[in-house]
Amino acid sequence: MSETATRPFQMKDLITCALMVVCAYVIYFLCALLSFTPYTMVLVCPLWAVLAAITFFLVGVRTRSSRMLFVFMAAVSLSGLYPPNMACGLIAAIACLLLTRARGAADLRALTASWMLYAVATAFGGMYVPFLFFSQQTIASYGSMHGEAYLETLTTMSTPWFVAVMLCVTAICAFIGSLVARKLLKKHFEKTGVV
Amino acid sequence: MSETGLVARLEDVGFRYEGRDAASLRDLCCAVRPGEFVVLTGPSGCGKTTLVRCLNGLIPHFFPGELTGADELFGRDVRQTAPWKVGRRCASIFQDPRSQFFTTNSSCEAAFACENYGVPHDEIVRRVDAAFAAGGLEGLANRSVFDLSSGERQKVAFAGAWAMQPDLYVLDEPSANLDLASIERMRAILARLKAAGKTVVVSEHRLSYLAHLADRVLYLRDGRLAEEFSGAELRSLAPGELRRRGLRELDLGRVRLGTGERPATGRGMGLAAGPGLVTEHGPETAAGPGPAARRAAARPAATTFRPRAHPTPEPAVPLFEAAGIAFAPPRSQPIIRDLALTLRRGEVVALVGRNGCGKTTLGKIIAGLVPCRRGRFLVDGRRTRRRWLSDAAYFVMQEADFQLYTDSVRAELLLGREGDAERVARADEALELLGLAPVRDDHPQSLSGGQKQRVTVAAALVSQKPLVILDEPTSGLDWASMAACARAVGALRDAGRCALVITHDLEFIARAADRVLFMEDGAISRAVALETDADLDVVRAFMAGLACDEGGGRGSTETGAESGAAEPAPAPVRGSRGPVLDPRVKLLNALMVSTLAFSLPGRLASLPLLAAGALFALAVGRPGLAARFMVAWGALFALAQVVPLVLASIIYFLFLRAVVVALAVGTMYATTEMAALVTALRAMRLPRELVVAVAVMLRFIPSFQQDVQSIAQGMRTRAVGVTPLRLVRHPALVYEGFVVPLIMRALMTSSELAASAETRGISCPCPKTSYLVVAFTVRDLVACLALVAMYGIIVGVLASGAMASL
Repeated sequence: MSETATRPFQMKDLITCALMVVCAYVIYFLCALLSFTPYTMVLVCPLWAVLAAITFFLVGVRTRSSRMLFVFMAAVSLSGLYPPNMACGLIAAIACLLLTRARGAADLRALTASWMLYAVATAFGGMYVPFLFFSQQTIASYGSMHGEAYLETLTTMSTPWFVAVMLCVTAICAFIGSLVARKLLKKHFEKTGVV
Repeated sequence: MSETGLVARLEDVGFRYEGRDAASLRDLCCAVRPGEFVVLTGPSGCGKTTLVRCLNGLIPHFFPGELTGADELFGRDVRQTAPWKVGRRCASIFQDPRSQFFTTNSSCEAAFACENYGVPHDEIVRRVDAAFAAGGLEGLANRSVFDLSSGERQKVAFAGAWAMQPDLYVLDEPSANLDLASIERMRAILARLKAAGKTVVVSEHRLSYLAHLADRVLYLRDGRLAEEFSGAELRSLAPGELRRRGLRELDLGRVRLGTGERPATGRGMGLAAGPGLVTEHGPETAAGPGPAARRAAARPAATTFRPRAHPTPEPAVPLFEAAGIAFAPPRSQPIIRDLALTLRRGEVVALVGRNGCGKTTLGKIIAGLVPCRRGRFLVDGRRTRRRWLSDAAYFVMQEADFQLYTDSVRAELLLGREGDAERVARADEALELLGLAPVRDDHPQSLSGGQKQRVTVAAALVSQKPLVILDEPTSGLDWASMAACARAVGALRDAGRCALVITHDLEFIARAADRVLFMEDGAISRAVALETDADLDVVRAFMAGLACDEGGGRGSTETGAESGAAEPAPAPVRGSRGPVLDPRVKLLNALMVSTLAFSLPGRLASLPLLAAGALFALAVGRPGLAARFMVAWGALFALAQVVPLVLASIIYFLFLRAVVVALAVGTMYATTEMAALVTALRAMRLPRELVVAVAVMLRFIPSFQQDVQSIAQGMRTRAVGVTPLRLVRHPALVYEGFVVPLIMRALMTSSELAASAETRGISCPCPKTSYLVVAFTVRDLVACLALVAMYGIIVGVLASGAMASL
């Protein structure tokens, strides 16, 4: 079947999508172990963008359904039930739905672009929204108990420039994750006939 | 029924799966008449499963490919009939009970098909009760599927099939993951079906439990119908004729230690005639030297698979000794009590016992994969700590998928050590011995189940660990594959290593074992050296006793078996559910806490949320849960007072809030049947796709936790475990070794679950009904309003900065 062709909804695709969401959650929980310090906490999103890309690509290549990609992205955005994260994830999911409908759900380039967009959006919504939009309140709550040094570090981290840098890092990591996913697809999943 | 009166008619049917070159079925003609009991059998890869899929409508809709010839079910062409339509009259039971369940409650699972087909609620209840009663399965009703053994799950699957009142039952290797006792119970259920005049088609390797049920036996080879027998003709086949056809013994009473030997021919099996020997069962009266002497005489010099060199004391010193081993699953009764055993180099020891007695757990303890409450271990006479046991012992899991990481069979055996000439030689030898040479470049995950199992056994051969523990290595294997495994463990013995085999397979024991240990009541009750057939009779009697023991195997030891069939994994014991609140109320509580926990400002924002969550847990009757989380929160808070500020901030803003979320989610999980939650979501008229997705995720999140653990154990035993050093030096390999098995497992599960769901009408367009009744009462409304008010006050207080001083 061509990469641009999509096939009608099948229940088995939904089940595949649901289980890939579970795999993505598992990988996220493992990445979240980095949250034990604020310096490593900023690495959670970029690392997840590298490691979980394969789950996203498998949904696209195996189901060949833009709808399933949307369901995947929306479901993963629900992790933590954090409203800014859910909102950003949903917006990205809609954009990806349109993109993959135009290019095909199994098109690797479309999947790469979609994954990069989604990773950046959820990183923005999940981690940096409090610092950008509620910075005074957030910093005040941290600063009330921490010393000047920590406050200074936090202030540095909450500037728009730092956020922009981290989002770029996340995008690069998502691209790397896409390359890793494509390699895994070829090495393992295509060879076994799974996709 | 069709105009011809046939249930199924296949004429010149051929089928080739999409993407494959070779056809799986060729020119196959067969018919199934009403009330017949038909057995499909043949060596691995003969096309049995494909034929089953042609009978239950999964081909060509669910498994796309090229279908030729006439394939009719109940008089209708399968090409024109969706699987859900076939499912109204044809019930399917699959091999792996773990993957075919859609819900988490046994009664809801039995009702699943009826719900999908819109059977009225009262009728569903009546049918489910009748189904459990008809099979004598009342004790399995309304139980968590995670608490059931594989045998019990298979029985629940039967209950679900029975509830649909189908005309045709189609079973695909239903005994593959079952022990003898469970097989006997399943045989009784099949006998009831036959007595009730149902049409039954069973695809099987193990024929011993079907020999007296079969009306007709269809023997397939290379995708064609090679032979057809009546039940009587099958029963009259001599052991040699069964072996020639690659079939297992019909009557386990005829199994002997062996009266003659000749090299394996491996005809049609893809097996090379390796250095091992195959025992053929000659006439019962044949005489000759004892089995041990014959094995010793015929044994080739085996240097290839010797263990790695390390100082070895006198040969009289046992390889492994253990004493005082004790183990209990969390919050459960001990299953291993003061167990002692001794293993020596150059022997194959079989470990037998009833399902749930702790055999697999014992094997993992010996391999250093599972910590035990206490135990003393000696390796080659030296006291060894538990965490170093994995250096000496290799554990071959029953589920091969958890131990396959690379993209070719050969690479799987070498694991990156292509430059090690000795290892390469061992790998090539192991491939030949186990008949895997033709598939050496194939991806391990593309192999059949039996081939995968042989790959993991080959990997054990190649490793140089002196002790190899194999967990049910022959479950679901045909005769030739079983013989290959027997050769492999024989090679381990010949190389001076020790193989401890956890098994229910009497034929395998007869071929390979030198000694048999009986495990009962948490300890080794007896050991039998297999020198004569009389010794084998003792083993046979013991295993037959297990099969007859209807009262054994219950209680806390027979718990969930997510990871395999022979031994259920320990599962937490759940208490009572307490006062009933609608699942939607608990979901609302969890959603509100999850949303607020990471949104509210302030260092101690989690404290009022914790108090609210604890109150809610008390209200639904889980004070113990509330107390545990409060203690955890308190401990983390205390820790935050003494650690550096950087870590303290993480504790305040992440971990303390995570504890609160975990309490809310844990309260919901502990007091809500997932099936009830799904029913409640369906009652809210949410889109079907969302409900199905949520149901699947809730069903499999606990299973995946166990899969992750199994993968980690598999990696550890293969010395590719996740350690800080390996993470730094080989991050890509660690990632690949972990993620690939996890995702492969998920994809296989999704395929099996979807197939099971399709045959039970999940795609039926009619409105779904519900087995459970979920009613939103006034009490639930009051509870919702109380929750909203409570959390609203908390938000108001925190937003006003009243807690800022803290």
